[in-house]
Amino acid sequence: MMQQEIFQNVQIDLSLLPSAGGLDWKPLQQSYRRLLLLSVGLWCAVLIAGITIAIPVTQLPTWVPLLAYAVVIVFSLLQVIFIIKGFPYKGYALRMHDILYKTGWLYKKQIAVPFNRIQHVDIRQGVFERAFGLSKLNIYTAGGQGSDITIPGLLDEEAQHLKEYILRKTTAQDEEE
Amino acid sequence: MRTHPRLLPLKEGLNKLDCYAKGGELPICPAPSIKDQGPDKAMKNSDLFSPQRQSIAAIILILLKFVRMLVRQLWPVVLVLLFNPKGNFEVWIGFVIGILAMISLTGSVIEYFRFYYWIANDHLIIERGFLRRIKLNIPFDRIQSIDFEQNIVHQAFGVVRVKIDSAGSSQQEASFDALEKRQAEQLRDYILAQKAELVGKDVSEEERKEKEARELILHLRPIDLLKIGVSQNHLRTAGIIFAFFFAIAEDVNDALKNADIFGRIGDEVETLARGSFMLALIAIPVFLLISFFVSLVRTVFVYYNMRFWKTVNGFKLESGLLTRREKSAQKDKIQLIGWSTNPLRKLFGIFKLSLYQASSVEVLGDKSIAVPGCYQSHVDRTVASVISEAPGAVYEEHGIHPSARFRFILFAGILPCVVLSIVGLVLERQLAFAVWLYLPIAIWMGHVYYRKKRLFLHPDLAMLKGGVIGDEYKMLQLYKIQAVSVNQSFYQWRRDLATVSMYTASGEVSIPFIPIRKAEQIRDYILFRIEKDNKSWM
Repeated sequence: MMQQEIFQNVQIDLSLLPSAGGLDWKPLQQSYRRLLLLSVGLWCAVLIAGITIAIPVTQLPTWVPLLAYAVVIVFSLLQVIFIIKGFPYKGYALRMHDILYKTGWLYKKQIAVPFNRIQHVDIRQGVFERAFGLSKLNIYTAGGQGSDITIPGLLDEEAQHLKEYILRKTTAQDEEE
Repeated sequence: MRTHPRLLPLKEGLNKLDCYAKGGELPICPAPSIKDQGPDKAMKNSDLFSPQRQSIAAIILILLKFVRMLVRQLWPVVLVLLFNPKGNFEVWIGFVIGILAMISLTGSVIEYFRFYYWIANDHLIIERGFLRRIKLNIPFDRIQSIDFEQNIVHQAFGVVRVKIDSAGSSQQEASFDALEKRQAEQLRDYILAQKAELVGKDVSEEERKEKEARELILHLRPIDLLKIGVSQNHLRTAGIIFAFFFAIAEDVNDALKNADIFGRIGDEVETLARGSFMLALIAIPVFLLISFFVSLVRTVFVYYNMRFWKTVNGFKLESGLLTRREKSAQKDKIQLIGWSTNPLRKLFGIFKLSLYQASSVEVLGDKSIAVPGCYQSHVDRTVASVISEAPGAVYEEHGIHPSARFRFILFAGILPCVVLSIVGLVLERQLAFAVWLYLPIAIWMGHVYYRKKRLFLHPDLAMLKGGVIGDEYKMLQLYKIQAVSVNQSFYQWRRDLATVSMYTASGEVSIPFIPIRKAEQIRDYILFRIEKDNKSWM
């Protein structure tokens, strides 16, 4: 049965379906980009300081620390480019029955999770994020890590609103069942 | 009836009072529950409700477990003692072994006498441990599956190892080293029947009938066992053997830091290898032959007398020569079905069928049932009984874009060739050129990959076909999808192509290199199906 030519045609009228194609994506907060850049800068500074301290201790030939500096700086620059170029591609969209999140510059990802498949939602905030007044919304499904959504760079109350909205939707779905 | 070995601590006592005051009971109240179970059940299963020990054979099995653990941990120490040139090592070894034996024996006896289990208020309760008392309290509705296992010692004593798999935290997994088979069956039947009642389905009658109702789908004949053995992935076995020896060599090397035997052997091997191609030419077939026999023997051990049943609400698989394993899958937990062949299996006309069950915990492999040696008819029957829409379903077919071919060749052909030939240039000139002989194979594989990769869409189903050397199929019901993603690499983005991935609770399937418009339409359709029906996926 499976192997033969059963694969003919059943018309599914895809054009009549509600499309998530032309959505209004809501961008992340601009301050989140500053936060990302700042953390890259900090890492870069820490690593460079580390190398500088290590030079007199380890007594390696001079080209080794120079190479290390170069690697750190090149990687940091690359990260900065990715952050600046990639930022406009990040965003989320809410619809009546699902939530979508997109991210990525060279590798673009778009993930859609229906509300009736959400297991739970939580909000997290790191030390730097707190200083910027930003929060991260995590949305978990039963589909494993690949299908979970993390929306960073939300204002605290924005994250709270989103969470409440989603929870309201998911509980409403449960009651319908 | 034995009494509870321990006085209730104050807190639990208070809780108990509290719950009596409220007119209900807390799950930890052990004894009074018997009355609430209804007269028939209480009489039949009365010994399940008071604290029970395992079968006395458990002492032996726990002891074996201890010994195995000790050997695994300590064999380098023993080796070092053996190789230690100075010192009267015989005394040492006798001493060490004596102490270890004492520890193991007392440990297992204590473990046995400190292990109790009983049922109270639809909870399975296990108390064990000597220095650190552990009390597990597992509500029936959290129990996912109850599996039995028998190795040769179990068989000799007529006992089974019972593994209870519960949703939620993975450390809290309960297992029994040895229960009398009858007792284990009683426990399982009771828990499953109660659980069914709890869930609200009135299947407890059906549960009881299940044993008669189950029908045999597949009973592996010796000739089929042979076919499976021959058609195993011998290269993988070779890899495992290789890794195994490597690990051992490393361990021994660690243990024998002073006696640098392996360093010396390594040097020898290196000079030999540099000297002649002949060695490799002989070694490779010999190694493959060994791998072939190892996987053949392994197959016989694991799949001997395999039987695959369809039960009322799922499937059951039993197999093994020395260790009989029994695994079961529940129909509504199965999120994904896969079947695959490789060239040899194709020749025999057999498939390996996999039923992937939903798992909340990360251990995916454990939650799936693999049934090798299925003929097409077995596959069809199994698929049809899980996915009722499957037989005779008509699909809309989606192929992938031809540029996928080039991508495949680039990443699986040209790139490794370049890397290997650079390595070759450093080591051996001739090798650097020989590597490129692989390229035509990669080109052919890229072509096959492109030709086979297909998505078949049905209003309720999705089926994915793929594979390079063999054929791979995966099928799922759309309402069991948890999330859909549409991804584009830079290369895909330039050509307006995308990859659609569908995530289920037991794995993901994806179709790459389809036009972005189509990808979005498929995504929209899947979302529409999930949201409109609002059907429970488990």
